[in-house]
Amino acid sequence: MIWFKQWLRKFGYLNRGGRFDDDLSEEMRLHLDMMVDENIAAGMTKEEARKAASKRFGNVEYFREDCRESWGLRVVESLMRDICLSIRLLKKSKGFTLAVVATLALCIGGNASIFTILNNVLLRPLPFPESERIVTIHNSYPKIGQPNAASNVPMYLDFRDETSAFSGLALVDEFEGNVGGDRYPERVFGFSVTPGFFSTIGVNPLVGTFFSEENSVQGQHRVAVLSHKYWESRYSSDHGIVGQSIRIDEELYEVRGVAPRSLEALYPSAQIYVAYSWNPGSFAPLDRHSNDPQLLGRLKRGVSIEVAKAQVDVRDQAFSDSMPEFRQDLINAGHETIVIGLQERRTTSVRGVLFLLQAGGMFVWLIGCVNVSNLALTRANARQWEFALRTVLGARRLDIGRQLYAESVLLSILGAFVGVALGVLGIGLINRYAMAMLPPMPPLSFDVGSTVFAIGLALLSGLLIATLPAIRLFSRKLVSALGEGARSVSTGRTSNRISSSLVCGQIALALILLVGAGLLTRSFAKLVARDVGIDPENVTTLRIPLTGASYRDNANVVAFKREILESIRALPGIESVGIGTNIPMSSDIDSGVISYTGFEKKPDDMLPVTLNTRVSPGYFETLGIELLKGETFGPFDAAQSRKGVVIDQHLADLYFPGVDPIGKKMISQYGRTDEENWPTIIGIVENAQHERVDEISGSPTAYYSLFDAGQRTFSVFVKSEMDPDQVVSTIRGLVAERDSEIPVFMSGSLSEYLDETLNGRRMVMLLISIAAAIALLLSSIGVYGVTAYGIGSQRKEIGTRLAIGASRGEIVVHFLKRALGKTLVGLALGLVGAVALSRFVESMLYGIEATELSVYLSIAVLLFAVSMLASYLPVLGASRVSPMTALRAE
Amino acid sequence: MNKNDLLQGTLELLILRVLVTGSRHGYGIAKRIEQVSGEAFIVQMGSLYPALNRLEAKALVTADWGKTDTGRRAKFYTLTKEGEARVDDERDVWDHYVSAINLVLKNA
Repeated sequence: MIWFKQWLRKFGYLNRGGRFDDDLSEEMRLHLDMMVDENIAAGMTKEEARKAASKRFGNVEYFREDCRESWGLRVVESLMRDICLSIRLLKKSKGFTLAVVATLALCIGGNASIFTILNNVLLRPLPFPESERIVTIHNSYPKIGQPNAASNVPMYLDFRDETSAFSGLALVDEFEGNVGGDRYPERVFGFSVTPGFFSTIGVNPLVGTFFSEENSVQGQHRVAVLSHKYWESRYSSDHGIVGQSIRIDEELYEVRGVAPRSLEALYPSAQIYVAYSWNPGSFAPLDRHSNDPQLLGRLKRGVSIEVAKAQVDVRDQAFSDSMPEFRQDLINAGHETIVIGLQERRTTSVRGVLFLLQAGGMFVWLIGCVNVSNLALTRANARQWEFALRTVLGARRLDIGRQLYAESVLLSILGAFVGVALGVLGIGLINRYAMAMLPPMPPLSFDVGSTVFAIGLALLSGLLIATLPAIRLFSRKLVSALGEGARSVSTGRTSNRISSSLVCGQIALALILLVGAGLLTRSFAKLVARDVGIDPENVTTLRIPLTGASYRDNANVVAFKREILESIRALPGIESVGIGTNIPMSSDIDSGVISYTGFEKKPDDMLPVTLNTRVSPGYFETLGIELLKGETFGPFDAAQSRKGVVIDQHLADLYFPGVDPIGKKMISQYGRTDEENWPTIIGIVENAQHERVDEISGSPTAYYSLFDAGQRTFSVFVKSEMDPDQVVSTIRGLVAERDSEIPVFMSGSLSEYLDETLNGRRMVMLLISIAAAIALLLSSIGVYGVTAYGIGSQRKEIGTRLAIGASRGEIVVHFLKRALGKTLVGLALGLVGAVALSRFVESMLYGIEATELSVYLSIAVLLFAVSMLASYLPVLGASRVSPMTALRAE
Repeated sequence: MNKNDLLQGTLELLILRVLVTGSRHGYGIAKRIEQVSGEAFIVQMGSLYPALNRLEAKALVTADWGKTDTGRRAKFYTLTKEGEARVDDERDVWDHYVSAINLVLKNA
């Protein structure tokens, strides 16, 4: 620990500051006095004694420095001196400091915010033990537009019993229900999970226990686990709730335990977990390809994903061998069971977006650094004379260089401070507005990692910024500046060339970013303007779950739907009303393979899966989905015991090319019912989009009659000029009249719902556009600054030219020509870069090629105009100067 | 040989050795070295004080303010434990060095 003591003493001295000198002086004085005494004792006179002693003693000042150096104080002290000098200098040039700190803070804050998202979403593992071993396993049918389908009970049982790669497997499905009884009724969302779920994830109960194996059997499934959040908010963290019963959808569930908070990292909004259950033996072999729940697994220690995948493939082969008649379908669909890390699966969709944003942010940062660098270079040029003078007075170049670095590191630390503040602000905004673009996760926080990133980026900026002036410093004879400096502070050609090439680079970077933003904006505009086949104007939607025990009887469900339709239609001011099981583009929709009478599948047919939904009379009119042929459902279908299905144009084109489909019988998921009972195609409607935006694949759609089945949760659509809130509250009243226990949710204007489906993409476009706008601003400042500086240093030249008769126009043209050169080179570089990088945004574009020429051209023209304007302003100013003033200024 | 030239490391060793007999102030240390060496070594102030500071920085000696016989305030240097150990080590190194030099001088 000697080194520690030494440092302690070292800093003790530093802190004592002047004490060191005083102590040393006193010690010297004593020594000198004693030598004088000695000399006097040897017989000298007082005067002689003092002289002799002083002579022997030597130069006190000289070895005072040596004493300091013994402590290694010199380095620290000169650093302190550099910093103090820097602070003084920066205080003196407030404008420079402000410009630099603001630019750096903006760049650092923005990048740190994006990094926070990146770090939270991509880099940080899920907070569960050995979370890298958690995988998801799902069916994939890439050739029919379903690359990421889900899983099912047969797969779960098969892999659980017949493979050895997993230490745990679990099915997870979304769950929603009405919790009531003990307290106020409430709609809750959560998951139904098989017993192995919690151990597969790797969490232990905070209170109580989790599920046991028999809970996955239908009838023994009425058990619940509360999420930590829900336990806190509804039950005030009461431990006594465990073992008690709560009422969910009119049935009593026993609360088994409470999940730990860490589970919120995976399912931030889950309130409740119930048991996923089924009737043993109720599954047909084909159900291995009806996809609904998600299958999670935990790999055994030492087992790789490849090994697990190989075992899963063996089971798929066994299934295919046992169902030869189905084999060709699977091959046509390109079926494969995918085993992929859970975190990877969660984040693949945002990975590209986040890296894109970070790259954009770094571009802006580079542009910012160029600006600051140019400013610093300008400042260093203006200080040539000072540097030269300091050299003459004995300063080494190293000393001056070190001072330059100290100054810019100081600036960047200031930038980091403000940048961190901006970053915290940015994360607040992102939490509030931008969560739609991320996978479900708890709010982000600006943490230690983000701060370290910000400081690191700041220091890097500092080093970059000081390097230019430092290179200048070392590449030139400083003392010669003294001679020049007597008359003018000349810029020298080197520094002008460096600045010019930096400006070219800046323009290139800005162009790349602007092209990216332009592509995304254009793509977004197309997305908004696309024909979704639905007219949401004046349509209000709300969702109703029928949860009471009496609705276990399908007749009651159908009756309720009929009654509510009738009573809404009877309201004044209602144009039309319809019921559907899904909200277009907002909720998951069933899909399956269809069959129809006389359908002969050719072996190499690649028909996409068909979406199935159920709708009531009035649905198509209300949503503005146009009827092209035949008819839609009528109020008397049931009375006439007619079973119909309406298909869209897409389905008609695919399955009935050149044939009139009307009158044919068809079904989804064939093999379940006898052909006589299949519904008959009664009409064809135009294509409408039901899938979420990110899954646009143009799937064909079949609309079955709402009244043929007993879906207990459904959406009502009402077209009316009335205010949506008023419509909702009126219908809420109508529902309550019939059953006061039934809540109404997901209510509001349909346009808003559809609009919200674009929030994720809107956010990405917005963020990139903000980055591009900042890039444009910064680079135009850069162009302006360099041109202005170039002109400022050539005032004499301008003056002379004017004096000997050059016109102002000629001066303007002269300088604009230079700016033109720089701009064109920058634009050319940028275009090349943009084309090269365009493939990274390709996957995020809709309806537009990544190489869309018009975007590139318009951006280039915009940037050209801005850059020329930024050069023109200072040129114009300079040309207005009177020649005498310009000459005298020297 | 110029008798003022003292190898830097050597001066530090001498200082440490002198302090084995007890605490001394700078003047005392210089005087002692001169006396014991029979005035062969004249200690320069410009070497002595940086050397003392180096030793203090290395924690081989400690410095405390005290009073001289005549009652003046003076900085007294005392050997630390590490310093004592160093004297023995350095002496070995020195002996080795001297005998090596002697071997060369006698036998070369």
